[in-house]
Amino acid sequence: MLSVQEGWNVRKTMLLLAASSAAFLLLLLFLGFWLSNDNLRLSVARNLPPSWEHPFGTDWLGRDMFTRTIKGLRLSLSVGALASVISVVVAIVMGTCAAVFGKAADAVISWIIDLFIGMPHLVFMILICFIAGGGIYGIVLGISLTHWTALARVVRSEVLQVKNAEYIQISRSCGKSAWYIARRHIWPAIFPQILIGFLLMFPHVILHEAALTFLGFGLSPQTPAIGIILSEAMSHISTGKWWLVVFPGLLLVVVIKSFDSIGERIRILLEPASSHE
Amino acid sequence: MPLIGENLGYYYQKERWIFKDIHLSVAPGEVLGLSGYSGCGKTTLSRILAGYIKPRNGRVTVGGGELKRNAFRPVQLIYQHPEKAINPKWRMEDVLTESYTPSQDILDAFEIRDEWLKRWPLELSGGQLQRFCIVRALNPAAKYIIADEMTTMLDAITQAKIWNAFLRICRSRNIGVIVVSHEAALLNRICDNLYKVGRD
Repeated sequence: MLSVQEGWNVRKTMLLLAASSAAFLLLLLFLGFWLSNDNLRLSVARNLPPSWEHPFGTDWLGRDMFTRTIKGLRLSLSVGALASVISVVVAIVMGTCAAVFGKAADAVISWIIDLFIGMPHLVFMILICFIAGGGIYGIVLGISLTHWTALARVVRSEVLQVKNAEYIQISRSCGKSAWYIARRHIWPAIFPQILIGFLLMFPHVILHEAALTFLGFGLSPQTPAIGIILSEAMSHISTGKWWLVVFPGLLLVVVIKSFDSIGERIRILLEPASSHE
Repeated sequence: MPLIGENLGYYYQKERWIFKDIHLSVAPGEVLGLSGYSGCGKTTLSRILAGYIKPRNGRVTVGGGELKRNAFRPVQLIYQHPEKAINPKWRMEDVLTESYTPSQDILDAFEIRDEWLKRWPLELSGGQLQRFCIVRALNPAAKYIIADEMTTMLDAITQAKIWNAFLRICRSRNIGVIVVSHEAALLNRICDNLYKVGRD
């Protein structure tokens, strides 16, 4: 028993992996603030392939793609994080209410969920974005108000499943309040689903941000957001400027993967079945 | 303040009564045995007595008052399957202290070792888990304990040990016990009175 706990074990490997993913994301965040905006000025160094001076090359206006990508990621990630957090909170509240407060509440909330799912996603987002006046504010609002439905359904069914468990009935017979039971019994049980839902929402949100921007309802075209960079680069890929799309795309995948990796490690560390390996 | 069930009746599907007109009474310190064939409603009856479900007919009173919904219930139920009665995501010490903080004497009486407290429920056997469930039910405020097939999964020697410790504590605190079992030998051995559920 003791010899397993001492020395190198899976638990420490997991912590190390999660920490390195987090460090990578922090580094990107730091770089986003540190790199100067001067690199985004137009210059004569147009369409340069990757070199030591411009690791990701430059675009057709002479802007340094490395700076643009890092700054774009920072913006996209903060928009993604904000919209995902709001969606997740709405989903948890709606899902828990539907499952806990009886049949009438369940019917009303299920009806709202159906209503939101029934509306075409993009049209609904454009509508909200337009009403809110566009910009980051409009994007965050539009995305978070349309993305909570699927997760709310998952939360609802999970809560329905655990809420009649014997250990929760016992907790109730010990005189524990509904709030205590939700906090200590129900939310830990649905945490893995929420975490996965949260992480899967990230790429979705970033792509929708790009779509909204592409349609002209979101961010302004000179703002370095990863969606804008990718959609601009698509029109240049046929002329052989591969670096415009490969590096930003690759970095986006790596960033999403790091989030996924952090989430997965946390889940493994918290899950009783795997936490002592 | 005796635990009294008056005129109890229950059905899951309308008008298909599982049992009807059951009158039960347990005095503090008394050990009552409930027996009956499988599916006769022993577990349903114990859930009603412990206030988990409301009877379709009749009522349950402790010392004249009905069980309150949002307070600690003086009637505690120990389930047949400890794996289901313990949150799989909690460490054992959290499971124990959810109800109250048990003294070392009680832990020793049920031979619960300190190192078990740091473990997950998954890492203990059914018998070990059941001891935690028993300790958890022995809250100082508990006046009655219903043991629903509490030791069915254990071997005879462990069963005898656990019942000894359990009944000793109940007697010293004047707790009334309802033992649900279909093991006639056990019931005859430990119960003061017997009640048979269901028709023969």
